[in-house]
Amino acid sequence: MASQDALYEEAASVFGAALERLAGSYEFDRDKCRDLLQDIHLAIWRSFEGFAGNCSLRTWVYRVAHNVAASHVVRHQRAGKRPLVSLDDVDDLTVAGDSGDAFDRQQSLERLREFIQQLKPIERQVILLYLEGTDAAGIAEITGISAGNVATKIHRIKKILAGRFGKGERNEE
Amino acid sequence: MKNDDVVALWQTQSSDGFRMRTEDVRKRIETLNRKLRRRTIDGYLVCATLIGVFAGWMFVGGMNTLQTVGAVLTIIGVSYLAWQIRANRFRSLPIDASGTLQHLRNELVRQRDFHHLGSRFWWRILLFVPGPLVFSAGFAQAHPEEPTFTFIRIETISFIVLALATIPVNLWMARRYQKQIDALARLQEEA
Repeated sequence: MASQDALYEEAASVFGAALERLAGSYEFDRDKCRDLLQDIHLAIWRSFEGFAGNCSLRTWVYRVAHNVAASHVVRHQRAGKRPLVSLDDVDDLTVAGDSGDAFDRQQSLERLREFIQQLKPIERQVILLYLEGTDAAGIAEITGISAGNVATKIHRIKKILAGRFGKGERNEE
Repeated sequence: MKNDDVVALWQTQSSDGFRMRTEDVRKRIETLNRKLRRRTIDGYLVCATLIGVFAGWMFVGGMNTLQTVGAVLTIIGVSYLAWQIRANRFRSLPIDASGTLQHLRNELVRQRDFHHLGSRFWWRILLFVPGPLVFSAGFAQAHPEEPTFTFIRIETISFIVLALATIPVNLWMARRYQKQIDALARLQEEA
């Protein structure tokens, strides 16, 4: 088994960018986001002390990262903040720029991030893993949700993404 | 924009290239652990100073009976506080991938229980409060002259007010931690 440092180096180089995207989806504030990202890296390094290779590096890293991020949500729940919603209630969600016509890349990304931030942590995990290209079985393994439930959620996510972010395509046509 | 385009858009967004060298990670973890250890040591130092002052005073002499009883009770109370600090000190445990949330929950429960107005809280009050009060009474008995007597009276009243204030403060802290525990439970239930 590789050393704790070697495992961390590998994880940071392979998943570094994905971890940044994950932190950005849980925390909008730039400084807090950096703190969260640092916490994730520290937790990953510490977690490798107990890594026995029973699952893939990817599964392990995402599990730790999502748990740290979820902990961050719990610790920093702000009074008066909008309640988080599930994918089933997503129709009630309003995201800034929904009614706008401009669909440039940066704007779409910001809307996507804001949309993700309003979801409950577990659904946020699923959509983030989906966006990172993780398959349903991988998502189930990382999140601990049943494969059937993941499939349902992914189906719903695809529908939502097409409905909300497919507007640009119609505009371009 | 098709779903695949959304996925591609997500994956190709610009990155700050955040990296931490393993030496930096080790240093940061060591700093965090040192801070926590420092807090515990500060607690021990305060307890040791109080015990030292009262024990030293008793050793040097010049206390009346009430003051001696107060000093002994204070030493017992402070020793109990020191023991509680030891029992509740933060332990830097290794975390595993599945246990991060459980680790957080354990920490929140530990902190809630420390502030909870249960038997441990009342033991802290019962063991810590009477000593200084009896000692003050003894001091007032030894120094009935003004303005020392008035000063002791003000000091005693302030101490009682502070002791009473710990009740709502601890109640508030325990509720705060309980809210976080509940939020965490909801989060785990959803999974």
